[in-house]
Formats: sequence, structure tokens, C-alpha cells
Amino acid sequence: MTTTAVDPGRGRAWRMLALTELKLLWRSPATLFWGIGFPVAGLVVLGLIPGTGKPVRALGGISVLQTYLPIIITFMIIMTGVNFLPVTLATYRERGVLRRMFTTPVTPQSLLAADLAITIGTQVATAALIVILAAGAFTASIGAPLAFIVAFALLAAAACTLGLLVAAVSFTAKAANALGAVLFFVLMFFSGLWLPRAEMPDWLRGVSDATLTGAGVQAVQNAMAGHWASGLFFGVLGAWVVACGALAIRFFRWQ
Amino acid sequence: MPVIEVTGLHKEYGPKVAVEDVSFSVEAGEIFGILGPNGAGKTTTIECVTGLRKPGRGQISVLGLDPQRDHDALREQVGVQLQDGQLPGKLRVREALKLYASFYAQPADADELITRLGLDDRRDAPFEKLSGGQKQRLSVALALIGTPKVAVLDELTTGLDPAARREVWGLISDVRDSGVTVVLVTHFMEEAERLCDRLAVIDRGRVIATGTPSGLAYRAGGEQYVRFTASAPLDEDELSGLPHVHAVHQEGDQFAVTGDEEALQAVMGVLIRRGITARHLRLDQASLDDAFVALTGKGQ
Repeated sequence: MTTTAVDPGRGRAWRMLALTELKLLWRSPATLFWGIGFPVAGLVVLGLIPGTGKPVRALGGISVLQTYLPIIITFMIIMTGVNFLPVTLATYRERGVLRRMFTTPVTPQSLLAADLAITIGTQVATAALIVILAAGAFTASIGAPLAFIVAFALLAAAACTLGLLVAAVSFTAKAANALGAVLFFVLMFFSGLWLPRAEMPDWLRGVSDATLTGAGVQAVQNAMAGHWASGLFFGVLGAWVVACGALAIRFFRWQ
Repeated sequence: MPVIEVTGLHKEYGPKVAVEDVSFSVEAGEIFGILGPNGAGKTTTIECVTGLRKPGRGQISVLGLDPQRDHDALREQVGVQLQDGQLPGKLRVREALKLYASFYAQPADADELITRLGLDDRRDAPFEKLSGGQKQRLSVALALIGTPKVAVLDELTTGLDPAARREVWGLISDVRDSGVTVVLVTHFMEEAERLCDRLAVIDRGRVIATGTPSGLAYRAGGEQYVRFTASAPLDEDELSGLPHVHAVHQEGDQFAVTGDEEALQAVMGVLIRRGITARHLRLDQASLDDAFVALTGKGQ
């Protein structure tokens, strides 16, 4: 399918699509809770517990809050990018929403782009809320903002392309949901949600380094501490974006 | 010039031939039916006509356009309701129409269309809360929101209860009367008989007959069935020897006579001469149903 080039009339269609998808997000309480409410509430609870701001030797000399802030951000990114995004797209494909769009002057690629934009927008807005809250209320500020932005952008891009890949290989919305859930637990384990990366044995941390969440948490953590992480971690994130993106394009079906 | 012209369409998926050889033409302002049993190749034909699939062989012209080459222009002018096309569950009726209106260069007024399709009291209802008939009416509305010249409707009433089905039928006639050419795909005989001006019967990937519903029915048999209860004793031999009568079946005072178009006249002549009244008189003609069975060699 070819897409039309620049066409001023399409701008209106695109804005309506994005606005509609935003409304649908707003009407989905589970998505709002797990994607936005829960991570923000997690930060607040953690911040209110006394002593979570003090450096801990077992965590490599950083505080509990500094350890978990990148994990909370990662949780939010994986939830929205690897779980909600593919389930939405697979549902649209299963119910013929994408097929119906093929019969209109606007292609289903536009709907995919709108969903991607809404997902990334949600991730950026929620991350901003978390960062401002952490710095303003709980003294966990970001030492190297540019390094943080680059790390966040790569992590979000890797999660969204993995989400597109999940949507591409899942025949049904149910399958996308199941695959997304499995990936969520695996990825969150390697991010250090249950066992902080500093406490992992070397071999396990080595595996974690190669996952998008392990590399992402490391890159975000270093940025908070005020310096750029090793280029290796950015390389791992970039590799995930390229690999998932290429596979998603190869396997994605519109109907 | 026909609005749609399909010549020698052929399409196969791997070893499976979906459409063997289909040709038909649709004139402006008519409801044209594509009738056939499940798996006959109706949907594939429609997908090729609307540019969703690339034909293997054959020519297709819609409003003078090639569905593959000129699909951008085609999509502005052809509204399509696909089989099983749903919407996001939480999307509301009015929002769906406003959204789809934004896709077209010259959209219809969404509110006006809502009123016309009788969805006034459901305009703020989410898609998942609509009844089957309301969902189908919304689907028709979405096919019409771009003010198309041609509307293609695939299996519109499948799964609807009889009342909802009648509701949608009334709507389709209105659409035709507003000047839109309608292509209606169905496997449902009564629907084709009541709605279509002309139709093509497709079976096993081929067009096996084209014509008006009554024309097809007549060609398939052209017989009439006269049934009545005689008010006084009558022997079946008195009827069976008549010209125009092919067969007579008697059970007590009840008679069933099969014959050609003038059979009724012949039977009534005898009854009048004998002073016998025909009670519970019924006259039946071969229906599209009979035609379909005769043409395809299978019942529904």
C-alpha cells in the first residue's frame, strides 16, 4: 500500500485520529491506573518511607529511592509500550478496524502512528511527572539531564518497537496480551524490580546488561548520579530498537 | 456507461481458486445484488472491486477508475461496509462519524446522517452498547459519510433478527433513492428478492446467472402452483386433462394443481361451469429460492 504524500486535508484526519485515541485512553481505567497511577503512587509511597533517601552500601552507595526511580520509570515504559500498545493494535486488527480504514482515504498506518504518538506522549508526560515529584518532594534529582533524556528516549523507543513486534507476531488480542504479560515479568526481573541489579550475581547482571530494561535502568541511574553510562548500554538499547523495528516491519499484518 | 464493469475476474490464493471467472456490470442508481452460497467467491470479488485485493486476471473499472492504480481517488467515491468490521468498544456513535468524516474531502454532515439512520437517541452511546441492528446502521452510516457515488455493502444483515433486518432493508432502499448506486453482497435469498433491482448469482467462483429477481425465478421454472379446497365433490381427472395443467394432486376435497401461467384460468373455468367454489385459494409462483436451488443444485 502506498501512502499519499503531503496533503493538507490529511492533517485534519491525523489530528482527529490522535484526539480520538486519546479519548479512548481516557476511557480505559485499567490503562490509566497501571500505566500512570500505579508508578506515580509507587514513587510517593517509596518517598514517604523514612530513610529511603539515604545512601546504602549494599546498593553500590546510592539510596533506595535512586535505585528504584529508574525501575519505576521502566515499569511505566514497559507497561505502556510492551503491554497496552500491542493489545490495542491487535484488537483493532482482530475486529477489522484496520481493515475498515483501508477502504477510506486514510490508511491504517495513520492509526498506528496515532497510537504510537499517544503511547510516547503518555510515557513522556508520566516520566516528567515522576521526575518533578522525585526532585521536588523527595530530593532525588537528575544530575545529568541530557544523559537522562537520551537514555529515556532510547528506552521508550526500544519498548515501543518491541510492542510493535508483539503486535506483529500475535494473531489475536488474547495472544498479544499473554505474550506482553510474559515479556513484562521477564523484563521487569532484569530491570531489578525484585532483585536490584547491584545485588545480582555477576553472570546474572551480565544477562541483565544485554536486556533493554537492564541497560535502560543502568543508563537512567548513571544519568541521575550525574554522568553518562558506558556507551555499551546505549549501544544495547539502540540494537534493541533496530532489531525489533526491523522484525516488526517484516512481520506486521494489517488483517 | 456502467458504474462498475468487471470482466473475466480471476483470483487464486496459492493452489485455491477463489474466483474462477466473474463478469458483471452495475448501472448507475440501482441496487445490484451479488448472491451466492458461502465460499462462492463473493467477498473476494468485492475485495478486488474495492481495491483491497489485486486481481489475478481480468479488468475492473469503477466509475471509470482502476481500483489498483487509482485507489486514492476511488476511496473518496466508494463507501464500503465490510463483513464483520467493528469499531473500538468505547468509541461513541457521533465520535465515530465525526472521525470518519475527517478522512474525506467532502464529508456528509454527521448529525444529519445520524438522524437519517435513526440513531438520534444513541448518538452518545459507545459502540459496545449498541444492538446488532444499531451497529449495522452505524456501519452503513460510515460507508456513506464520505458522500460516495457507490456504496458496497457486504453481508449486511447476517446475524440480525427479523425486525432489525427489515429496518436495515428500509434503509438500503432509501440510500438508493438518494441517488447512490448500491452493491449488496448476500447469501440471503429473501434479501436479494426484496431489495435488488438486478443481481448476479455466483457459485464456485463463476457467475451462473444475471437478471432481475423475478426474471431469474421465471427462468428457473416459470411454474405456478394453484391450491384450493373444493366446496363440492370434484374428481381430479376433470382437471388433469386440461390444457396448461401439468399435474394435479388430490387429497379429499383439497387440490394442488401445477401448471403454466394460464393454469389458474383453466381451473377456474371448470369450477365455474360446475358451480363449485374454490375455498382457501392460494396461488404461488416459483421464487428466487427455487431458482437458486435449480441454478446451483443445492438448497440453502
